[in-house]
Amino acid sequence: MSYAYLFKYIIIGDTGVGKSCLLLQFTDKRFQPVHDLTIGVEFGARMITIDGKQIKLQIWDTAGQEAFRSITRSYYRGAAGALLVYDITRRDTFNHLTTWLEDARQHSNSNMVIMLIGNKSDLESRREVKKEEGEVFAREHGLIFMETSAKTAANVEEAFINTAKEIYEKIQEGVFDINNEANGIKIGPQHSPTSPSSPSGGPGSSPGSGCC
Amino acid sequence: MISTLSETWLALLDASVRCGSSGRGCIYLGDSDGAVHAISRQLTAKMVAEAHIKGIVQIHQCRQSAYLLTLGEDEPAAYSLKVWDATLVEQDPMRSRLSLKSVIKLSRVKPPTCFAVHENLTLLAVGYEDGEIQLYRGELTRGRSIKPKILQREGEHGSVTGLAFKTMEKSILLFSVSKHAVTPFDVTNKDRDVNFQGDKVGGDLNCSCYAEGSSEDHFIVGRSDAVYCYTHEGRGPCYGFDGEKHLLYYFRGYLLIIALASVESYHLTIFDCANKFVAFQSTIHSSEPIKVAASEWGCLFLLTSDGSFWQLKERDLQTKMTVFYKKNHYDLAIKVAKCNNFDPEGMADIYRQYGDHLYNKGDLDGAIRQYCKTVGKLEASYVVRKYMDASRVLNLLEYLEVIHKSGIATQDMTTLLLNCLTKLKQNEKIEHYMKDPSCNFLDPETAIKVFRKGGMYKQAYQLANKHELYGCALQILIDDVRDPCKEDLYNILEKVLQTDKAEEILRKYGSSLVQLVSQVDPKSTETWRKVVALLSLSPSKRELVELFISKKEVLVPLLEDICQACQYWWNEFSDYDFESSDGPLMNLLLEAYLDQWTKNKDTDVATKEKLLALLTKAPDCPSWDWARALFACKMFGFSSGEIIAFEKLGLHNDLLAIRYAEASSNPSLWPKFFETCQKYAETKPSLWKDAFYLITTPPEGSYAAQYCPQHIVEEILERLLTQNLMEPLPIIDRLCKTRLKLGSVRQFLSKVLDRKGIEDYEEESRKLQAETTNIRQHIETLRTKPLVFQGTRCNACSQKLDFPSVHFLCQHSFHQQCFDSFAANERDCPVCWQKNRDLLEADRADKKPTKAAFDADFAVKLSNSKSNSFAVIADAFGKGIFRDEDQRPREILGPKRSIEKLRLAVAQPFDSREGTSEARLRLHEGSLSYAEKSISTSSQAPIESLLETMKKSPAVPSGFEGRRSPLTQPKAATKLPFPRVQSTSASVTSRQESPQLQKRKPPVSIIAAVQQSVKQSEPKNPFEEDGDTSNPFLEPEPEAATSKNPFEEDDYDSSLNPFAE
Repeated sequence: MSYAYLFKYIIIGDTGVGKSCLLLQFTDKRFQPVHDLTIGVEFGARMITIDGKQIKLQIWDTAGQEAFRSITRSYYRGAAGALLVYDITRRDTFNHLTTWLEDARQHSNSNMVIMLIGNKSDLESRREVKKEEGEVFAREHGLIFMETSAKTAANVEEAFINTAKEIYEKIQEGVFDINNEANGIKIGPQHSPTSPSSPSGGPGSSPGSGCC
Repeated sequence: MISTLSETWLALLDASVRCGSSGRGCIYLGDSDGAVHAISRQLTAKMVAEAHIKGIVQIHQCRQSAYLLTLGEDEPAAYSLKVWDATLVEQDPMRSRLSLKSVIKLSRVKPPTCFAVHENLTLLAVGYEDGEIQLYRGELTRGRSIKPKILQREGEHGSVTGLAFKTMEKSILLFSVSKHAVTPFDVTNKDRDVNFQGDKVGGDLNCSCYAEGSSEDHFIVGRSDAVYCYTHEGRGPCYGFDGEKHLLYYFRGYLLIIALASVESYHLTIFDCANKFVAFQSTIHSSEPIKVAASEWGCLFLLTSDGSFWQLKERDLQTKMTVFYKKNHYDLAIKVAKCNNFDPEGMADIYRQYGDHLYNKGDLDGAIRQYCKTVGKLEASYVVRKYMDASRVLNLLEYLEVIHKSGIATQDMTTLLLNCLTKLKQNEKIEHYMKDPSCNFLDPETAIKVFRKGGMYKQAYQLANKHELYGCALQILIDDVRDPCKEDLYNILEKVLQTDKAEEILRKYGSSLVQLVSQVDPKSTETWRKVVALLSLSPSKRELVELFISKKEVLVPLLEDICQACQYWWNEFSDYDFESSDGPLMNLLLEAYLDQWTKNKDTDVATKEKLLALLTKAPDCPSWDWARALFACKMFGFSSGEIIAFEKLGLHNDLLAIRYAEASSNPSLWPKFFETCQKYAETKPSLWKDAFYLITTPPEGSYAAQYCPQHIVEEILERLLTQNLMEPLPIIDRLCKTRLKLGSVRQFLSKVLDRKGIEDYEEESRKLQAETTNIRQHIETLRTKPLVFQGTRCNACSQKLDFPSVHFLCQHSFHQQCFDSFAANERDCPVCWQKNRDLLEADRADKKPTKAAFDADFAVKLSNSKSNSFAVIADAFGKGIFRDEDQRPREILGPKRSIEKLRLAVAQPFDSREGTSEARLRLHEGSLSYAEKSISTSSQAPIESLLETMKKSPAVPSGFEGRRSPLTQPKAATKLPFPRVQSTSASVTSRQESPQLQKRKPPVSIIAAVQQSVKQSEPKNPFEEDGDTSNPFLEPEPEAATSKNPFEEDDYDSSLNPFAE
C-alpha cells in the first residue's frame, strides 16, 4: 500500500515497562501477557491516516536492558519520533527517564518528537507514580504526556497517532527536512516529485512490503 | 532443537577449503588449489572440476538452475568468474564433472572478495578488496565479454565484504556490505543505478547473509555487538548477539551465527528469526577456522579449512515440541507450531497444554486466555469443569463468551453463561447482549428459559420480543408477569396474531390469555373484535373456537364468521366441497345465540332472527347435529327452534305436541295446530290419533289452559272415524276422562251410533248369551250327569246299529266298522268334526279385530301410565296381546316376533322421541330400564310359577320322553317335562338381539307359556293350537304332538275337551 509519509519511531524505556506490548497492541491489537525479553531491536509497522493522508509508521521497539543500550543508541538517529515509556507501578523506571531523555537528545536529531508514556494504567492499585508527576515531568522537558495500558489498549492508539500528528504538524511547519532520510521521515513515491534521491522505480514504490 | 553435533573428517586433498555452496542435493567446495569438490549424500568428496589454478575465492550454486559459479584467480593478478553446468554432477557426483559454460574475465587486477549473482543469471556484482563494486549485466551463460559498470568507487568504505541481490515485485536491489558501510543499490534499471541511504557501519567478510523470511527478506549483517537486519527501507530489527562474528549463514528460517569465542573455539548460535528464539547454542573447538556452512539433506554442515566437518541434525517437530513443553516454553511452541502450519487440532492441543500449565501454576486468568483459543477443538466441558471447580466465575464467563461468539455454544453453555451473568449481577452486560446485534450468539429460547428461571422476566420478555418469539413473550406475560399492562398485552397479542404460528400459540395459551385479558381489561370488546378479525383470516380458526367457549364476546363473532364464510361458499360455488366438519360449530353458535337470547327473550328480535336464519341454513351442513340443536332449543325454551327441528326431523307428533302446548296457552293458535295436523297427516294418518290423544290428555297444571275448540275436536274425531284409525269405543272411553265439552263430541257420538244399529248388536248378544248358557248347561250336563246313548242307527251308514259300536257324547253313534272307515280322527265324531272345525275357525276370525283394539288400547294405557307401566304390561300379557296368531304357520319365528312386539310396545312411547335430544333420551332411560326390568320380571315370574305347577302336577309320565321322536326332540330340553320353558331366560336375553341364538333355540312360545300360567283357570289346552298341521313338531309324526300334551297323559278323558263336542 502506498503511503504519503513514512515515519520512523523508536520506543525506549527501562526493561519491562511494556514497550513490546505497546507495539504489539498497536500493530496487532493484541496483548501478550508473557513476553520474552527483547534482544536488540524489534520491528513493527502500521498504516494510519492523518489529515486524510496515509502514513506508515515504522516502529523500532528497542531492548530496555542496559546491555543493549549501545545497539539502541544506533537507532535513535533515524527516528522522527520516540515513545519514552515508564511503568507507573515502578518508580525506578520513572526515575530513569532523565537518563533516557539525555540519551535520546544526544543521539537523535534535535527535532525528534518525544512522547512520554506512563504505561500499565490498568494496574491502578499498584500505582507508584502519580499521573501528575508524569505531567509535570513532561511539561518540564517539553514532551507530550499520556498514560496508557497495553493490556486494555487504553490510549495506545492515541499515543502513536498523537505523535504522528505532532510530526506531521512539524512537517507542515517546515521544521523537518523531509528529504533527509536520517530524520526518520520518508516521503511516499507519489509525494516526492522534487526528491532527487528517490527515483520512480525506487524502493519506496515497492508495494508488497506493507508489513515491515 | 538441533541435537547432534557430530564431527567427521572429510578426506580431501592437501589443499585447504576456502569456500563452499550447497542447495541442490550436493555440496560444492572450492579449495586453495582451485579445484571444485562435490560432496554427495554419502559424504564422500570428489573433485569435479579444476576451475582456477590459483585458488577459488568464492563459489555459488544457483538455486533455480543447475549452474555453478566460481570466482578465482587464474593467473597471478588475473581473476575470472566461471559459469559451470552442473547437471551431470547433480545426477551422479561420483562419475561426472562440471562442464564449463562461460568465462567472464574480470578487468581489474585488484583481488575480488566476493560476488553475487541474480537468479536469472543476468546480473552479476563483484566486490573488490579496495572497495569497488562492479556490476555486470547480460547473459552470463553465453560468456560474451560483458562490460562492467562501477557501482561504488574504490576506497570509499573499505573492502567489500558481502553482496546480495534482493528481488522485489518491481525492482531489484543489491545490498552491499563493506568494512565500514552497508549500502543498498537499486539496480532495476540499466541506466539509473543508484544507491541510497544505507548505514555507516559495515561488517566483515562472511559476516553477512541474505535471509528469506516468512514476512520479509532481510539482508543480515553481523557485527560485534549485534546482528542487524536491513530492509529496502533501511535498517530493520536487530538481534543482540555479542561477540566478534566469524560467519553468518541463513538456512531454512534459522540464522547460524558463528562468533569467535577465543582462539580455536567458536560460539555457535542458531537463531530462529521468525519466532525469535535461540534454537541451539554451543561452543566448538577447532584449530582450523570454519570456512563453510552448508545446509543439505536436512542437516547443517560446518567445514573447516582442513576438511573436517560437523554435522548438525534438526530434531523432528514433535521432539521439538516436547522440548518446548518440558521447558514450559509454550508461547514458543505456539509460535513454532504456527510457522510449521500446524492444523487447528494440533494448535488447540498446544493451547490446552499451555492453559493446563498456567492453570496448575495458579495463573487462572492466563490459563483461560489459552483455553479460549481452544474453543471449537477442545471439549468445552473440560475447561468449564476446571473453572467451575475453582469457582472462577469471571474466567468462566470469559470463556463462555468466546464459545458463544464462535457459535458453537450448546444450550447448557448458554444457560451457564447467563447464570454466570445473573450471579455476577451483570445486568448491564445482559442488557448489552440483548441489544447489541453483534451479540446474537445467545440462543433466544434458551436465554429466555434461563431468564425466566432467574426471575428476570423483563429481560426474558425483551428478548422474546426482539427475536419475535411472541409466543414466548405471551407465555411470560401470562405465567410470570401476571399483571402486565394492557398495552404490552395487546401489542403482543397483535404480533402473535400476525405471525404464522398464531394458531399454535393461541391453542397453547388461548385459555389463559382469555383469562388474563379479562383480568387486565374487563372492558376489552375492542380488542376482541380485533382478535376475531385476525382470527378470521387464519385457516385453523375452527380449532381455536373451543378456546373461547367461555368468552362469548369472541365466540359469537368468530362462529358467525366461520358459518357465514361457509354459507358464502356454499352459495357461490355449488360444487364447493362443503366444510362438513362445521356442523358442531354451527351447533355451538346456535347455543351461543340461544344463550344470548334468553337474557332478553321478548325484546331481542335480532338474535331471534339470527337464530331462525341459522336454523334454516345450518342443516345444509352434513355434520349438523339436530339432536343437539333440539336439546339446546329445549333447554333455552326456544319453541320456534324446536318446531323447526321437529319439522326437519319428521317428528311430527312432537311438533304437534308443541303446537298443542302453544295453542292451549294462546287460543288464537288453534288453527295452526290443526293445520299442522292436516299438513302432515296426509303422509302419516296416525297423526290424527296423536292429535286425539293430545286433545284428550288433561292439561296439566294451570286451569287457564284451554281446551281445544269444538270444531277442531270434531274435525279430529271425524278423521279418526273416516280413516278408521281407532275403534269408537276406546275413543269414547278416552273422551270420558277428559273435560271436553259434550257438545263438541255430540256429533261424533251420533255418528258412531248411527253407523250400526245398536239394537241389532244387543239382540245378537242376547242370542249369543242364551246360546252360551245353553252350551254351558250342556257341558255341565255332560260333566255331571250320565248320558244315555239312544241312537239306534249308525250315523254313517244309517243301518241299524249293532255291536261293536262307537258312541260319541254328541249323541252320534257308529258302527265300529263305519267309524274306522269314515272317521278322519279317532277322537272326533266324524259328523261333528266339520262343524267343530268351522266353529273354531270362526272363533279365530272373530278374535282378529279385537286384537287390533287390544293393541291400541295397550299403547294408550302404557303411554298414560307413568308410574305403573309394569302393571299395564302384565295385564296385556294376560290378555294375550303378545300372541301373534298370524305368525302361527311360522311358529319358529313366533317367539321372536312376539318379543319384538313386546319391545315395540314398550319402547313405543320413547321411540316416538327418537332423534330428540340426548338428554331427553336420558330422561327416559330410567323409565325405559324400568320397563325392561318389568318385562323381564313379568315374563319370568309367571314362568316360574308355571314350572312350579308343573312340578306339582303328579302325573308326569315316565314314558313321556321315550315316546318322543328323536328327530324332533330338542337336545337341550330332554330333562324337563316342559322343555320349552328352559329357554325362557335365553329368549329373554335374546330379546337383546341375537338372531343366531334365536335360531338355535327350539321353537318356544314363551308367550304361550306365560299366558298359560296366567290363565290357568282356563281349561283351554295351550297346546291345542299347536295341533295344527303346520306345526313343525307335528309334521313328521302327528302322534308326537299329542304326546307332548302334558295333560294328555293324565287320566283326563278326551271327551272332556270342550271342543270335542
